[in-house]
Amino acid sequence: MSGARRRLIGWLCRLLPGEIADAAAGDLEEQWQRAARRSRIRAAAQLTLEIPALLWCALRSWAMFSTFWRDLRHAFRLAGREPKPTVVALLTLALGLGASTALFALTNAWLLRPLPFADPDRLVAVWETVPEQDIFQNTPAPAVLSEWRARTRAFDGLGAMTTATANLTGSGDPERLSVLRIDDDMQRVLGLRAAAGRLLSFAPGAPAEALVTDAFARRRFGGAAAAVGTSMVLDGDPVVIAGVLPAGVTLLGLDADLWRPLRFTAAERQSQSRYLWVIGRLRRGTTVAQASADADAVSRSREPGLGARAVGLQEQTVGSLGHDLPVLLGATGVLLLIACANVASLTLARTASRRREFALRAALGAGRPRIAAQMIAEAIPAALLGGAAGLVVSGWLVRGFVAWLPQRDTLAAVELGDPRIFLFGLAASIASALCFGLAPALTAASRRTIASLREDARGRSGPAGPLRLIAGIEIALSVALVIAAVVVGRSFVRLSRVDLGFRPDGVVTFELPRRADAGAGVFFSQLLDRLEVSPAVTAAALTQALPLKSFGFGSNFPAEGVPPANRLTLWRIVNPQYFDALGIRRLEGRAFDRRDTAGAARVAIVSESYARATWPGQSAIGRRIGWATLERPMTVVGVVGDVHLSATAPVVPHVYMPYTQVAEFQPGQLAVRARGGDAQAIDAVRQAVWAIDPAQPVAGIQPMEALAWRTLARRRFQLALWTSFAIAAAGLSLLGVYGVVSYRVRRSTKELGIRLALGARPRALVGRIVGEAIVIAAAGAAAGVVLAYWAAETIRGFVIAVEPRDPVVYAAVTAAVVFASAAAAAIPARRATRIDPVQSLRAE
Amino acid sequence: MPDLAEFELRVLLGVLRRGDDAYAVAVRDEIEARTGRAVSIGSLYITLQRLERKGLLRSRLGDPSPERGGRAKRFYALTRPGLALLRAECRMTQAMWAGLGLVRDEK
Repeated sequence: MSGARRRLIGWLCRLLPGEIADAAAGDLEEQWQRAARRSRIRAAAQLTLEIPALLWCALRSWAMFSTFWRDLRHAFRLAGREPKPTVVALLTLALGLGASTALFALTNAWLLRPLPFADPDRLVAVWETVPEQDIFQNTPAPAVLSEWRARTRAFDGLGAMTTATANLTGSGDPERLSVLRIDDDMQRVLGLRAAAGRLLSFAPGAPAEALVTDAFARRRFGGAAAAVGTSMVLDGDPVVIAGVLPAGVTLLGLDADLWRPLRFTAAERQSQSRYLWVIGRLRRGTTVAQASADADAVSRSREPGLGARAVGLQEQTVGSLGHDLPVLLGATGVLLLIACANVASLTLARTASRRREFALRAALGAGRPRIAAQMIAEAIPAALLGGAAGLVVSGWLVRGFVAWLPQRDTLAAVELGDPRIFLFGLAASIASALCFGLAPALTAASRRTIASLREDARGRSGPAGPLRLIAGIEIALSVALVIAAVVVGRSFVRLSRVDLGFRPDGVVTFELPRRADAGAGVFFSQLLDRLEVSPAVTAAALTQALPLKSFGFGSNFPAEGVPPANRLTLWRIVNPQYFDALGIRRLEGRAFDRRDTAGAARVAIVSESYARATWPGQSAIGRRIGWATLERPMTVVGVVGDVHLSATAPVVPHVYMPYTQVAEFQPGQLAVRARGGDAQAIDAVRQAVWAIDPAQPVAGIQPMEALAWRTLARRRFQLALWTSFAIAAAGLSLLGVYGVVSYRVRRSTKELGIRLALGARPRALVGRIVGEAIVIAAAGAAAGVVLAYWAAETIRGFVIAVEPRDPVVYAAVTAAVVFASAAAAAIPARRATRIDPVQSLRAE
Repeated sequence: MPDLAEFELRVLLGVLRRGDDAYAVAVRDEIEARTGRAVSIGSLYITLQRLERKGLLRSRLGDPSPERGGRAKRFYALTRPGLALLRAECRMTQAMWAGLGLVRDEK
């Protein structure tokens, strides 16, 4: 009994700092003796109650006085005295941590944050599909929506919206605004609440109202509260701001400054024009798949060849990036792993060169935990500074990503100041400190340290094995990343070279918003006349929706004498020079000309794919087609080449009509092919516009090539990411090879010296050392190729027009990495040839 | 002049009261007897160490005794700054209590 008590007291007090340990043990013993005189149970209880306070005392004094802080101070001093390894480790970590925290910030913004609507998991986007044409995200027509509303069972409600623009005039600068028109159901379906004011009123006879976005309210009125109740002049009519939307609300990534009511007349409800975006709220307990099937069945039964599809709104908003991010996150993890491995091998090599010191410490009685603690402490300066630098780098990266990414609204929501991001960075840096502090520590503190010290005399090279393994793993991971990057890069190059069907280079685009009134036609015809004689412009194209700039509207164009086919066809109203200005090939018949006036016979030009599908093997010229119905047919006078809406989009059939013959719609977008520079063309357009109407806004001035480039924004983003991953990974792993080889040379200085003394040729020695590096690199690369082959299925999801398992790519990357490794190895290997045999024998 | 926590003050006073016999168990007894509150050796040592680090206490090892399993006592004593601090503290406290007559001096 008394033995057990003494042992307990002894054990507890050994935890205390040395200067009080003995006295405290004596105090506890004395206390026990005194209490035991009255009652042993009391004494035992008293001793038990002492345990927590003693442990706490031990913990505190350990934290205060322990050698750990000494180690840490020592480590910082060491880093200051010999900064090179710390700087390399710091840079390595800054890169690895920076990328991982940046990616975490982006994932957080896209995937983890719920949409700002009530019960967002039940919201879905509902699309019309045309399976035959590979179209799965078509906007449905009001007639289809009515059918879905009447016949589906899966939804609590279906809301509709469409996009529009409006000119804001009156106070302040005139501005062109993006408008989202939403119907009554949409407000209910979203479960929307105004951040200030109230929602839109759909009561009959309600005054013209708008809900404005938070950003617009701030920009224009200085705040949400100030905006509510204010009247604006939109397209010449007063509109009252009923309320302000909560910050960050966007729908399907559609641009909008304000939301206005969308009301249907009875006739509009049955319209076949496909211009609506539909969002539905699932009935409780219904899955997205069930809703999809429900809507699909209704669409199929309505018109064969068509279907429908529901997509979770979150998934839809996050879009394909939702697919990319886990893969990218994986790549970030790999990069972080390489970074840690690299620092580990750096530390390992440094530890190895200090083995004598550790052996001595071990011999003097420093235990394994003591040495491990020291090694961890030595890893901390780099980890802390690297973590801080990583946060800075991640700030740059996120800002860079935001600038690169396509949907700017969603991106504005990325928060850099999110504490979770900081915590992630901190956790990652601590984890990597442990990761690269511990491995060398365990080697250093291993029982074999002293034994290996003796082995040293015989020229054994200690932890070279683990070093080689680490370098090999790094090579494997970076080969996999480089292969992925090359595949993504090739896909990008292919896409940027896709023939769009027109030539965007040298074309500048404009938006000329104008109210639909009788004067508009005159304005546009005068403008075209002026541009025709302008020396700065080769040709001008006028339409309601330029390719790359706007998707345009789809409808059905049945042909006389041909059974009706439900084929989505985009239509554009254009001027005669449209095709020449954009460089669209003219295949058959004529372009529009001055004969095609409002009163003349109605004419149309169709695209090649429309002609081929409607009249296979026959000429389209002279045939008659109708817009939605065949009531007012148009005669086809020409066939032109197909146009891609973007590099990645499939060809959609087009019907072109002269803008002069379509009174219901206004052209509002202009593109001119510049003769000299873009600047002169822009100037010429402005002069021409303002000469006719000085109050006309000239907006959206953009080179068409920039628009084409923008459609590749997501791809570009991927490419930039993968390229930086690959460069970082390859750089780090080459650094790893360099480290291994220079360690190898340092370790075997004596051996190399003896060889040289015995007459070995220096070149042969270099070859031998480089050969060892090549073996490591080749083994690593082989593993990397296997890894890449295995990961190819994941990558296949987002590369287009390229086979991810391309043996040529695999071989080229492998060869390049092995060659680069040999080059990295050659630098320290050459040092071996400069060894002075006499010096080397004295070493150690 | 640093502010003292309540318990730190009690420990300093306990050490002062015990004079030449101020080792942990004795100081603990002194505080318990006067305040009627239980004090654990562990928490006493946390404070003793902190006060020593602040330079208010100094300590020396005594001789081992059989009652303590042959272990030595560590005796604590106030340093000159420790004493000065207590004086100042006493003056401040008395100035605050003066004339209120809440508690009679029990003698």
